[in-house]
Amino acid sequence: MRLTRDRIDPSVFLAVQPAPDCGASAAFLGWVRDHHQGRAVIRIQYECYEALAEKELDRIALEVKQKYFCGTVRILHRIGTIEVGEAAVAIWVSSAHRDESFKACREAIERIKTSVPIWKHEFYQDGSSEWVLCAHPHEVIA
Amino acid sequence: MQIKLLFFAQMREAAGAGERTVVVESPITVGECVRGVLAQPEFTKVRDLPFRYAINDEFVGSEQAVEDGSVLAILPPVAGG
Repeated sequence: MRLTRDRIDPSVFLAVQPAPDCGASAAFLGWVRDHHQGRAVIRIQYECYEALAEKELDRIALEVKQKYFCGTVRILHRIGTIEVGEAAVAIWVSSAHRDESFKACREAIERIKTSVPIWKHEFYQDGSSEWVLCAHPHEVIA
Repeated sequence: MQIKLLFFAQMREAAGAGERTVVVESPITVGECVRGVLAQPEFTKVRDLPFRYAINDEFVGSEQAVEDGSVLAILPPVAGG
């Protein structure tokens, strides 16, 4: 399972022991912050194409694991309504050496941001809301 | 033939629903089908977004042929993470 509507508890997610052949682990946690481009954010809502998102997260985890010879790559992405100060995404990787863990963690989050079908709707202090648009290599039909 | 369209985020809001069943001519590609959908007036504000596409829960390109009974998702720019 890569998607959850429940609150991500970092103390649970990170409580993992690497395999004996892994001398390094690295983690990334993405949190909902209280501002975006000068606007006060009160919460966000992630809409998700769940069937495709699960597949894409699986694909990212597998490809990153193979590319960096990781022991484990764990990814958990929250969907639904998330309040400021709560974790939106959590990644944990292990590998034989630290360089691979750092790189794998970075690549996993960058790929999640550009290819997993999840959409962020931000809600602001002033009562307005907006879909956050990311710059992606999407196809444009002329 | 008949296909089901899936809409998310801005597209869902523009469509007024998360899905819609449409009848299209066969043969037809994803690109041709999407052009027809986006030509509808309710999509005026979103039709210039850079979309990706999926058929039956797999990413596809715009040249992919659409089969009868397919589920075609028109995906606006994502923003997870």
